[in-house]
Amino acid sequence: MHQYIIRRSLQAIPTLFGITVIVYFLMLLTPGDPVALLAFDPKFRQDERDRLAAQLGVNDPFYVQYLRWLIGDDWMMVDTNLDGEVDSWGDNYGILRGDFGTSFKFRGSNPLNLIAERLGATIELNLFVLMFGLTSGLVIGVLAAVYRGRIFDRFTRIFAVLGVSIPVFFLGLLAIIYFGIELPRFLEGFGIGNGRPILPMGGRCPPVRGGCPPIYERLHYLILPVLVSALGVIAGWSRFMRASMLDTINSDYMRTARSKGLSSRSIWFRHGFRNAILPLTVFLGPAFVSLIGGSVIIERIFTWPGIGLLLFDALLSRDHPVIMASGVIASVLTIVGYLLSDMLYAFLDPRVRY
Amino acid sequence: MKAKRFKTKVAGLDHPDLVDFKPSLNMWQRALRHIRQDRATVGAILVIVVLAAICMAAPLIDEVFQVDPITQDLRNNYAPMFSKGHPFGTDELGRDHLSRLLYGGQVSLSIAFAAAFLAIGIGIAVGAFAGFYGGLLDDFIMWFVTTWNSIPSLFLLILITSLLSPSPLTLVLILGITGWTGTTRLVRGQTYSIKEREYVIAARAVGASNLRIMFLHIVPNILSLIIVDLSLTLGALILAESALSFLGFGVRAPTATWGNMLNGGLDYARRAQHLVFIPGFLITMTVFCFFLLGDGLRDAFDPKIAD
Repeated sequence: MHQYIIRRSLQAIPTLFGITVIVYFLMLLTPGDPVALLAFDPKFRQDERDRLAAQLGVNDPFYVQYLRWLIGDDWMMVDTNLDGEVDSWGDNYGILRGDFGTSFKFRGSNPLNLIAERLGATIELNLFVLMFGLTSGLVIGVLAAVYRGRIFDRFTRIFAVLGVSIPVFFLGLLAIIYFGIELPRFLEGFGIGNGRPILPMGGRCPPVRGGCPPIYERLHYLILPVLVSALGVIAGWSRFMRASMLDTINSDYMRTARSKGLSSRSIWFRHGFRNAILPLTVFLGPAFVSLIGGSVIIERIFTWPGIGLLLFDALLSRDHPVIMASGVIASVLTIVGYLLSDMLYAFLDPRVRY
Repeated sequence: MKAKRFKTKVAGLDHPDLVDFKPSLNMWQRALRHIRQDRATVGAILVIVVLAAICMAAPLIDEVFQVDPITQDLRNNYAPMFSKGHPFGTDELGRDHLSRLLYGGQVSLSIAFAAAFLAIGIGIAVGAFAGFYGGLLDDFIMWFVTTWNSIPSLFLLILITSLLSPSPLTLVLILGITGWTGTTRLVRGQTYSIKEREYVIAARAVGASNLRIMFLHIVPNILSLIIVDLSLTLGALILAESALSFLGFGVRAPTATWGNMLNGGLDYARRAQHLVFIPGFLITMTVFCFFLLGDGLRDAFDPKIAD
């Protein structure tokens, strides 16, 4: 087991390296000048712009910028005032020594700090989505398998396909229109409420000073984003669970269980459910990954201050260190997600050899 | 039924046991028969065909209703559904909504089809080479695929989209070159297992070249899987196009697509709900039909499911 974990982790290293090269390359190819965005004030003189570009190092060739990002430049002198002579030591330590550089937009802040603020919000949201989505998906899947071919099964098939077909932002907007405008207006007609939205339509915390209150005081902020985001998870997992359950009930030990006279509840839940859920651990990683990937959209609809929104803003303002940092963190999360689900599978199923 | 499918007279063929002989159905015939009984899949195909036909008939429909997708009429903007001269109302600039939906549908569907064929074409070629030759080439390709898949897909799409100014053509290229990895995995795995089969060895024995074996013997045998993949990819690409529009990286105005119409409608959702609901509904329905079709095709091609 230990060897398996070590081997899988080592395999992640070339992947991670490849990701950084690809993302850095694409990022630098992108038209749009970070300096022009930072110094759009016409009072900036051209020589000041040039000096800023030199300090940020954005005019160097691709490989120089990438290497500086990777291994830093604190071991060499650089030219920061453009007089053609090197004058001061570089100040980057490089990502290999844990330095993500300095944000262009928020001068002096470490991208890692920016991300740390936001990552908690993303993980909080997606954990709730996974918890809610998995439990409902599994229950629906088991019921669909038990009542296969009946009305419930057919209904959930349509529901599952529909759940992945609807654009997330369209669904989010429908939720906002109905929960935020139509439903309160409707209730007001019956003398309930004052026509104001019942649930918060966006954000993570009440807009008060002094940061976010503990999570149990702001659970209602989670309801809409979690419902909207979980629909796809429920849809996917109910289908996986149904298929896995149907595979399981045709196996020999299920026949044995039935022939020794066990009650059908015991067959379905003690023998069937437990075995059927095992192969599904493989899907746990991809599920988490697609949530992280889709977080840009869900965070934009509900103005949830997560890593997706940070990445989006950084892309718009060409803030290279922040783009790279959030890209790397999101990719690391992705890789870790895959890794954990494989390991969980190997751990849970003694038949898996590694 | 008297089967007359033999050119030469074979002795004993008129034996009573053989007169009613019917050759067993091949994979395609069996799949077709399965689909005919599957009402959901037939419905999905019908909806897609009808919708595509209506979109392609846009110029004709414009003639009938005397509308066009470009003319603005600011005094008559946000016209509701079924208003005079505009059966689907007008948008924020007073342009006819029906006509824009039809032309937008043309663009959205063409982008999805072209990008899906591009992605799957790349996927088949790369996957077949990786699976067939194995070794270092395979290692390198699979490393690249894993790496590519580990970058969150929307992030990758946004990065590449901001490289090229998004027109329908560049969007096809972008969606195509970001979307081929799934097919590559599929084709590579299948090629890997099929290349040891007897018929491949037989083809090699009669002197078929590697390319011939790959693309005339192996790929046709996984065509059923590829068709299912194509149907699912089409749905996913329509969703991707609308997601990119929502983030502001889609096809730019004035070209209409369902994605950017839905996204544009979001700003006017309180004034004119038809600007949101109709494009949203059309996207959802089209994607729904493609996914349903993929599901149905998978069942139809599955040899384990007896009919």
